[in-house]
Amino acid sequence: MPIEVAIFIEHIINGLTLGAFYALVTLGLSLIFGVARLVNFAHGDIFMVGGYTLFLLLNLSGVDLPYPLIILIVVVITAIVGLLVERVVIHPILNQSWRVQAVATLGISIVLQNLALILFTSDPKQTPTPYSRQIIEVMDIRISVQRLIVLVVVIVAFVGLQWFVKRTQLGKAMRAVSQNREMCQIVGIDVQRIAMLTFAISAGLAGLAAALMAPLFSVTPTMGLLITLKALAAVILGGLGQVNGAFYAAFLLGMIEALFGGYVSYQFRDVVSFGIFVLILFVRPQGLFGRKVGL
Amino acid sequence: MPRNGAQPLLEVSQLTKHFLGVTALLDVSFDIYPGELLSLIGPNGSGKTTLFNCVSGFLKLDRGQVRFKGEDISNVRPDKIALKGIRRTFQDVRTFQEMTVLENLMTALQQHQEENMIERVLGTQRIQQFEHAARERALELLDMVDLRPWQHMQARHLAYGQRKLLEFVTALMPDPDLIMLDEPAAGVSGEMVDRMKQHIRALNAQGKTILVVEHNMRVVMDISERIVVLDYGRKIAEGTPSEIQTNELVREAYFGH
Amino acid sequence: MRGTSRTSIAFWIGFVILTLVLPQFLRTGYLINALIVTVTWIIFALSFDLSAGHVGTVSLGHPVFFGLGAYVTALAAPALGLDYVGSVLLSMLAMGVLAYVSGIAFFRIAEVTFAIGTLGALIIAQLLANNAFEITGGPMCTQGVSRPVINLFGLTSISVTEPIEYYYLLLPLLFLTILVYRRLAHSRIGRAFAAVRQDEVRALAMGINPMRYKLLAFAAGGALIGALGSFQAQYITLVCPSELALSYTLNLLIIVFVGGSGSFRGVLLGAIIFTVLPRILETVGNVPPAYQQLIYGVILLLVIRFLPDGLDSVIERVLARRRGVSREVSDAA
Ligand SMILES: Nc1ncnc2c1ncn2[C@@H]1O[C@H](COP(=O)(O)OP(=O)(O)OP(=O)(O)O)[C@@H](O)[C@H]1O
Ligand SMILES: [Mg+2]
Repeated sequence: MPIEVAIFIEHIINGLTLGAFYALVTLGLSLIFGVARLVNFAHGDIFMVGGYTLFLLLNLSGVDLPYPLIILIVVVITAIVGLLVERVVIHPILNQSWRVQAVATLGISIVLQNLALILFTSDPKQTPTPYSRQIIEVMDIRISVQRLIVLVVVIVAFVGLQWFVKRTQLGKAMRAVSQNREMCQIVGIDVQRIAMLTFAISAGLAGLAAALMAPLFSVTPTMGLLITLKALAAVILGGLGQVNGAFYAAFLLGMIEALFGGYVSYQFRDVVSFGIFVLILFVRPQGLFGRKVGL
Repeated sequence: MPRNGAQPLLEVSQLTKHFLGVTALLDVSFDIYPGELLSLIGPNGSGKTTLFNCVSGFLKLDRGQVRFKGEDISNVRPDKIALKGIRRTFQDVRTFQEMTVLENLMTALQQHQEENMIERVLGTQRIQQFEHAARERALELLDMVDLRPWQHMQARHLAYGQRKLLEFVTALMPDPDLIMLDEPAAGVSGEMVDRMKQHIRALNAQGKTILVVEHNMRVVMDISERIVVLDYGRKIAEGTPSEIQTNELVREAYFGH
Repeated sequence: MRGTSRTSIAFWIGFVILTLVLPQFLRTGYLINALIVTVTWIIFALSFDLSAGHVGTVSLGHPVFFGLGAYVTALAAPALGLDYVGSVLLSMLAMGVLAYVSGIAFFRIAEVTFAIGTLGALIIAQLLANNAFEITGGPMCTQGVSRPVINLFGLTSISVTEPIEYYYLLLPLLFLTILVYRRLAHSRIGRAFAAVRQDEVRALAMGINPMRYKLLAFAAGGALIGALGSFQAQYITLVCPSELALSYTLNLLIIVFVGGSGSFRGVLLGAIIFTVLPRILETVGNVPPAYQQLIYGVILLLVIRFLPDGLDSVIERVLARRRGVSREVSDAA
């Protein structure tokens, strides 16, 4: 196979893994947005918490946990963090204005970032798994096994989430709440509890993303911001609280980033994806809420 | 009611508005003459509020035209229409909740044609005189509806009926040429309904032109000179209260099909 | 307004005198530099609060005006041969125009989407500053910005080097900011700001054009912050991409929302607490910055939870009670 083609395919696979990663993070963000009408600016910081949890688990002295178990523990721990965040900070302000909510979630972000800074310093931490160095080579195409794992797990997680939302009691309730909150309250669905569980699930998804993706780059206390913003970009590109739309938009974003970074300019790849996102905002000014000034 | 050849203050012609699959207004036409009190009635969802929103610029028209003092104001921005002399209230009472009662009224005079931004930044003598006059007028209006004792209280602390009164006088604040009231007597106590009725009537007696949407038929029949009836977005009748009361189509629209 | 009364005139005279003589008591350069930091954050936060607190448009991108204002001075002012006043005016004008023009685009999007969009713009600006090595020096920063020189009618010129001189150089900008803030927020315009913040639809029905007021506050704030950036560039003699960091936005949110948004006293209080507390923590307990930020984050969350109108609302309540008492007394008399 000509080397150009092999490289192109590698870029595509990189784009897919990046996209899969963004998709996981985005899913959590849009779930919360759907159920609680709240934009969680600390979502990326939960990812960061997942990254450090992974770092700790990989460096547990004396114990060598299998990777799947590690993933599971990271997911559980981030879900618990999400639950705590919801109970302590979000719950009391669920009915407040967007301004208060935005400032509060940014406050959470400040707290989590500086906790990480205190505990782990600002030095990037590597979190290699047995698979991140393992490369398979098929017809000149070199892929790290870790990337393949990311792809597979994300697809499984997405299908699982679809099943969960469509088939389970809780999932159906979540959907109902995001479609019509008032009605749910009238019918006696416990909206508060649903919001709480949604936060936990959303944080767990961010943790899953961290457990899968952090091995491909390093973990720092301030990494959350860019991730939050990427996820927000996907949510907006994907359209008005459409979980599926955001999912595909995440892949699109990952692909653009990988191809632009690979062929045009690596430094400016983020500039381009955010640039597109800001432009989309102008084209679709009603944004997330789909609500313009009016009646 | 064309009054000896006077020009209509507001001319609504063939107003049409669709929402996804719903025809909220279809070819609605009517005029309002200076000094008149016209009521707009119709069953729930017949398009009354939509018509208010179209006239006051909050909704784009799909078709038709709105003229005010002879000038075409179709699809003009709401703030510009307000400055031309049309003030409205909202069905779901809107007051500035974090402002005091007095500030609510003062805000209504914010945009006086004669002042410019620079003067306002500088707070010139003229602006101060203007502020003073505005305060006097606000207090006068608050006296009229007995809200003066509450002048320094935030609007959110008022009772529902009081907020309706506040919104009502806020619309009067700049002495507009046309006042549009969307269900001024809805959801308030019987005593408050009567007070509101008296106020509207007194206002009309002073020569103000008023367009009212109201469900309370006792009020409507009492205060209106003329009534326009909407049903499913269409005008099905127009006439004096007694004409409307005996109109077959109107009966049908309200009491069954 | 009710009383541009004797007390308030006395307050302002006292305030001006205090700001003028304060550095005379702070002998060391360390303390005067600390004072400059405090004043910087007061100016920054008041300018931010015009939009966030009064008009209710919470932009997360305000550091753009600060950082770009600094870059304009660092990169363009020398080429144009401008002195201190000229360079500050240049940055001010450039950022005012940028705020106005970008505002036209960004105010098409509302509420939290606006916050997200401005956050995106901030990140873009920072990435550009970081990666456009040829122009900005990237992470190596634009170095060697010249210290302020003031030309006096082309006859003679004064150059500024000492902290205390810098302080007096910054003071006029503080006064200008306070003046603009008061004129805008506590006037008839301020009422329109409040109307737009509380209910845009109703504001429209009263003849208020929300766009106009959003732009006014945004452009005024942007211009003032641009001027501040220009000062900063000539004070530190260095401009780095980190001047465009989100951490500045977070600091602004802490100052404004802990102190009390939409209130001069609240913002002043917030800025003073935010800048003085760390000095105390540093000297007394040797608390490192990360702990300080953590403490601020926690304070912010606590205030939002228990005092949604900020610390200022406590002061307001106390004052209102005293005022109430004195009114009762005078009524009884
Ligand atoms: N913004 C909107 N989007 C979609 N449909 C709308 C919108 N506003 C009104 N409608 C629809 O248009 C129709 C007319 O509504 P409108 O509110 O004008 O009725 P109304 O006569 O004021 O009723 P009510 O007496 O209940 O106030 C209704 O079917 C309503 O559902
Ligand atoms: Mg209606």
